Amino acid sequence: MLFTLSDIIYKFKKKEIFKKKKLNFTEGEHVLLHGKSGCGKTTLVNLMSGLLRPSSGTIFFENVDFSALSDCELDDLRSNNFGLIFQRLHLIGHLDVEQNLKLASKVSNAKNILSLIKYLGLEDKKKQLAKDLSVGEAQRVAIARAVANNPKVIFADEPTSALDDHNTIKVMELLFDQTQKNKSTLLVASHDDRIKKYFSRVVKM
Amino acid sequence: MSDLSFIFYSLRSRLLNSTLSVFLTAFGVSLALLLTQFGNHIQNRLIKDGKNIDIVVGSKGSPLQLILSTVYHVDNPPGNIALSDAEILMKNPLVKSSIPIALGDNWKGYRIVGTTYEYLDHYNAFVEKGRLWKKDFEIVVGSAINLDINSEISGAHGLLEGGNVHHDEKYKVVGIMNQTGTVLDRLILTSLGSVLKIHEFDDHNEKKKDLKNNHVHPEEKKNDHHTHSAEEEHQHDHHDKQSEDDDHGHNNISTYQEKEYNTKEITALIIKTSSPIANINLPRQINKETSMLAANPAVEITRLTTMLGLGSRTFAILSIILIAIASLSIFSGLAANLENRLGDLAILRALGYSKKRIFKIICFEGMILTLLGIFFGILIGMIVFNFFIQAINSLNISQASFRLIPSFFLIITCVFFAGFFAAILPAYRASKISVANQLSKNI
Repeated sequence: MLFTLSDIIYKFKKKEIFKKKKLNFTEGEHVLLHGKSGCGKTTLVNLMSGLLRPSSGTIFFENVDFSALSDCELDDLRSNNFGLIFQRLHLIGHLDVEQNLKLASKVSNAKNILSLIKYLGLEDKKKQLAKDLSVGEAQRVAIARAVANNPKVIFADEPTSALDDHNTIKVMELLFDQTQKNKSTLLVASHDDRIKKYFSRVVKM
Repeated sequence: MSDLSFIFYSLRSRLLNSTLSVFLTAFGVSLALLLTQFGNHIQNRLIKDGKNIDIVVGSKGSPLQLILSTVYHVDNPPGNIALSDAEILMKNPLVKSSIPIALGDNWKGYRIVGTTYEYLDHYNAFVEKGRLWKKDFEIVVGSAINLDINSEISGAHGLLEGGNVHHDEKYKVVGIMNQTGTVLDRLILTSLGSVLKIHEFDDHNEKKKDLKNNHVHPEEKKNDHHTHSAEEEHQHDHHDKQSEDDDHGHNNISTYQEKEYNTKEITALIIKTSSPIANINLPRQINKETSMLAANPAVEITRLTTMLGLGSRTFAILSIILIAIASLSIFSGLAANLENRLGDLAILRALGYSKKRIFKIICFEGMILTLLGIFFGILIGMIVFNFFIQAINSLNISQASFRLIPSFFLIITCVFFAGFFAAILPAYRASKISVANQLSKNI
């Protein structure tokens, strides 16, 4: 089992905002965490990626208990195994495309980054500042940054919520293409019904 | 991407803010350096000019005035003392060595000092060009005075530029001293006899004029025989007492040094005592038993610097204030920007950057700003200091120069650590951000 979550409760300011009895994910799965806004999809992604720690319960990743890891070890685990695509893209505006991709700490091989940029059709944009990119271009860069480390798991939080149908198809094709290329597990949190068809498993939140 | 590259691009993206932080620090550093450099220069000059002078004996009056006029040559002396009294004092067993000083005239603001060769020895000066004076009206000039060998000058009454010029007798430059970095560099030295005689000529001429015109009552003449200003008058009292016989008799004296002591009044006597106890007892003895005043340069200068707040403590306090301003500028620069950068830092954390690494990045940013501030601060400090040296003649003459004194290193070290501590708080805050919360609210 890749991920095993048991009796997870997450409280924010003493208020319980997320609760899940049991949830498992296997390696190579393409899972859609589907539900309305505010149902806890983003919280679940944050908990599984180690950005948040549960108030109670356990999360195991490849038999490693998150609660047994220090903050530093959790940071290492995240950078080594996970790729994250955020709802609001979160590129660093004053860095160019290439530099944003180089931020992924494990990637130091400039050749890999350049081939990724080429593959995503961003070759002529590689020296352009992230803040000057269009939404579509920024989305592609955000996906490229998430997959640049060849991660075991790719987390995507609402990757298509702001996109039209045409761009939604392009982004999903790109995501699946990269996932298959790296043989990664894909966990997408979204309320977008349009993307349900792409996934072999849909978890109702 | 290396952390240094990230810091570089981050600082570049906030160029105006970064530059302001650097220059605020630089100005703080440069002001602190200038303050300590000038303070050090003043202290050095005071020490160097007053070195090995235990006591100055002069006319009753203000002891500070006596020290300033005789040792530092920046004030008018309070009056004159009888040479006979001075001679008795010179033979006192508590006196190790003594140098007589006679003031009264200047050339273009440079004081003409009647003294003995020992005055040069006292400041380790020597004649670099030409020779020492061998007879009256021969002069040796300080290195800062623009006069050549064989030049002839006429002295003017008083110690400030603009007094009445003595046209009767001219001084001839026979030697130029080496640069000593002391008060000697801006003095014109001659024999004691020269200073007295130049006034005897005036005295003599005035008397002749008075007799010829027969307009002035003897009592009035006594009070108004000179054309000096009132503030200069007291320096020339000795001329009133000079006799006609003395005026014409100097050529008959065979020994030159002996002749020098034939004068009746001098301005002051610079004394080195025979022991530390003598340094305490002799002034008491002089002040109690004679009509002269004995002043201790070290005591008077300490009193002056304390009074004016020129002491090292004042400079230290001012420097600390400036260093605090410099570190606050770094703190404000980093803290103000942190709010806008929390999103970027949260992304780095999400990408796997540890808290420790984020802390280091922000600290490094602070230290880079601090180091740049220190670098430009030193540069600005040196440029401004050298500009002042060129622009202010007295600094140039006194060989003021930017020195790597202990306070220089102290300021640099203090600013470095102040910058480091100013960076710690924003760095700590940055490392403690809640990544998930920050990413959910950040656009």
